[in-house]
Amino acid sequence: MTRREGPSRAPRREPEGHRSAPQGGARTGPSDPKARGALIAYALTAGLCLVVVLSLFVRARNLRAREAMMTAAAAQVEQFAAAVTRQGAARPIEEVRGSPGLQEAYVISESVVTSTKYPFLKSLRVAVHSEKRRGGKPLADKEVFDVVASGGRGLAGAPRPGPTVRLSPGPPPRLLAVAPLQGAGRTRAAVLVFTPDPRPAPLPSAVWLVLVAGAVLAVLAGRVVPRARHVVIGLFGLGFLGYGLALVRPLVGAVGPPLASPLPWLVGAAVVVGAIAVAGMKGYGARLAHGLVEHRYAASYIAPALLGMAVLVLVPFVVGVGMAFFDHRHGSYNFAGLRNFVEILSGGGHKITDPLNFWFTLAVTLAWTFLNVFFHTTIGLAMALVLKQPWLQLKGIYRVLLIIPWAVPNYITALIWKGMFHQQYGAVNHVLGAFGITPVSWFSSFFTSFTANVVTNTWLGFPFMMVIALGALQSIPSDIYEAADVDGATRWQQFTQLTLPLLRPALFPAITLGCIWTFNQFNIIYLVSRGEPGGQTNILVTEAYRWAFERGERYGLAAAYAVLIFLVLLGWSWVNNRVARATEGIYE
Amino acid sequence: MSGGTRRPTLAAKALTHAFLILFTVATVFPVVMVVKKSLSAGQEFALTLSPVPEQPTLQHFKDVVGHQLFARQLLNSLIASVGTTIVGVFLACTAAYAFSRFRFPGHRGFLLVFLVVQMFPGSLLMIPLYVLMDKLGLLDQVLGLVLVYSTTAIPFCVWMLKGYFDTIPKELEEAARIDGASRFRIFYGIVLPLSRPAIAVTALFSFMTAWNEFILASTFTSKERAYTLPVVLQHYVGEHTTEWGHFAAGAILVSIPVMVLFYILQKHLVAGLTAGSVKG
Repeated sequence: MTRREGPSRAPRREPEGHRSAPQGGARTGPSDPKARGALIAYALTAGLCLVVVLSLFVRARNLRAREAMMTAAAAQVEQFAAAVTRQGAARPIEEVRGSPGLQEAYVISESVVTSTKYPFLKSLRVAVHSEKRRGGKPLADKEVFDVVASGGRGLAGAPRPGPTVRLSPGPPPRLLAVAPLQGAGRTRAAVLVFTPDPRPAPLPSAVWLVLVAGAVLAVLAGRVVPRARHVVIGLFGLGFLGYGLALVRPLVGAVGPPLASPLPWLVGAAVVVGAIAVAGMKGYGARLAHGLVEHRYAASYIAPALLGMAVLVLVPFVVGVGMAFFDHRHGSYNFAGLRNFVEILSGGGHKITDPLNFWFTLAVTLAWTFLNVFFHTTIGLAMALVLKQPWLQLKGIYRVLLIIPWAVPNYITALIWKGMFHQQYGAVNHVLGAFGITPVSWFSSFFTSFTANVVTNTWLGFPFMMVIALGALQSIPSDIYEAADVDGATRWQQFTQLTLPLLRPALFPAITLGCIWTFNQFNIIYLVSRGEPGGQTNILVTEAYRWAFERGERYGLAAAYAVLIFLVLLGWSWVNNRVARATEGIYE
Repeated sequence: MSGGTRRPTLAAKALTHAFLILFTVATVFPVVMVVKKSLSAGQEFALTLSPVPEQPTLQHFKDVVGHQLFARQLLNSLIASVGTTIVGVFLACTAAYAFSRFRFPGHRGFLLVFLVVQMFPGSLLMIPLYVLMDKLGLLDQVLGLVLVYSTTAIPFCVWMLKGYFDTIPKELEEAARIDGASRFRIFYGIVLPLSRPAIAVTALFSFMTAWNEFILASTFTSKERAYTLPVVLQHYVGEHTTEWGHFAAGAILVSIPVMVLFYILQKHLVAGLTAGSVKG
């Protein structure tokens, strides 16, 4: 935001003593340093062992998964080959076409050609029946060639019974399954090419175990070093989160079947929640039950609202968070684990400059929030200072007129400005034209489009800040300015050293609120620029909306977006809250 | 800049006024353009900057009000707003009172929940709500909109009302208690009548919020009969049509009542906002 005055520039009054850093109720941990060291060592060793065991477990599981996938492919290609033997190539290819993960189906129908000139030179000239092409075409696929050559029937070798499956690392990774056909002396083979599942389930139970272990270790560490409890818990938590991710990451590229059941995840989540509940709220349940009886009046008063909230907010919230772990396409939900989050956070295969990339949108959102709040605050504050002058006449009228933008429903504001930015008829270009500027096509480049959004939202938002600042200015006694005058302070000094610090307690919550509003300001973006050009001016909330309602109903992905937005805001306001709490009381 | 002790020169005064007038004109300009458009013939956005309507006519207002579904859509808007207000205030009254007067385990926690809920991005609830409403067959129904709007109305009302209840002196209730009044008697016999103005203000705010809501209504309704007025307005200047005249007339009809309300209630809103927090 704007320059913020540190506590050191406080007016005369002495700050309320240099409060020692807030100490979250120092626990009585083992204070003996030896015991402490031993505990840490135990904890680390346990963590290390856990990680090693888990790695082995994960590896074994993935190998098994891969084996299963290859067996399935072998079975399928064998079936396919049998069908080809019975019915010829065309029908089975038609039938197999829709199977999940299948890229291509070939039937190789020509044989080895031996060069007449040089009998030792042999080449495999094949004709391919695929869904795309019928008839003979030399096989250009080196990998399929190799499998056919070494499998089915070797170039000159003995026939090998049964199908051959090979995993080609790619890129792109492919699973090649080849089965020999019973041909009359010719090399014939049926080939199925699959897309292997690129991201196996990231081993839910393993990850959860790592995280639980991390949490437990963090709590242990916190008990050992009570002073730095928060820091230690945070670091340990982060470290183990990183461990968990590092463990999963290399495996993400490996091959495995999609995870069919969300059950392990649910169990894992329940375990984690339970562990946290037990660790954090020891005896809370008993207290709650006791409290319910004791405070039955309060309980009966709150119950209706809580019930309403539970039905109207909690249910959708839980459903929404749950949806973030599913993939919704074409009307059906499939459990996807963390894939939606991985897809979003990894940019979904889009370059960082692509509007579909999460980080691009996040950057736009942050710029959008910062610029708007900056303009709201500076313009609002400036207007409040001007309107505050005691000698100014007609204050009331100015004030009423300047609040109009706040009073107009904001979707109407957005639509009005959308019209004003029209290239041909818009008032903005008209005004610019009066200064000899050629009409700007506002929504065809990122910067003009973004500017249009910011201008609209600035117009919409400054009155709120102005009203807040006016209210706060009124509560500043004028005699301190007189004292400052006597002391010879310049106006600028008075502004930076008296007005700003004294406005802080009122402005800070307003700015916090403004940031959250602007971060979630859906209507302006959605109605003014509509994300033009090419989705570049979308912010996170409009992006989430588009995934859900305009890009193939990807509810799961959109829900994951929403969860991420929520986490960003929650984290941000938590930090803000701490800052506010740490600085409050100084100016009171 | 900020002091009040120096007398300004005449030039400084004139400059300040000039600046203020210029700024105010710039601020009011878009609104003036809409008023102008609503009274001018034709559907194109104005080409001149003059605030005087060209070929003045009331045709746009007649068109908008005369639309065969206008009454129906107005009714939708009214039902959604009034319904939300009733649900919100009714459920919030007792809870706000409990939060204001009683100290019980979870007091802080629940209050925090009511605050955090208002921080949710609309889309976090919008997507699951859409799916749930779809499953319950409540899309294109005003009842669905009432339920959806209540998700924000309840926490908002709780925070606003709690703020007001906090200002009612406790001594009154203690006196009543000594006289032998029951808890509930005190609540509906003393506290509620005392806070009637506060409840009115809160109710009007919930009403305004629901009345001005656009994106949820446009997502949750797809039939013209089920539209609320904001959705209708947006459709006047949608992708394919640009009936600026109709839009301007409709915008004035829709926003005049809420703007009047807003000016009356604005002071309370600032107080409520800074006490708690509201979703934009």
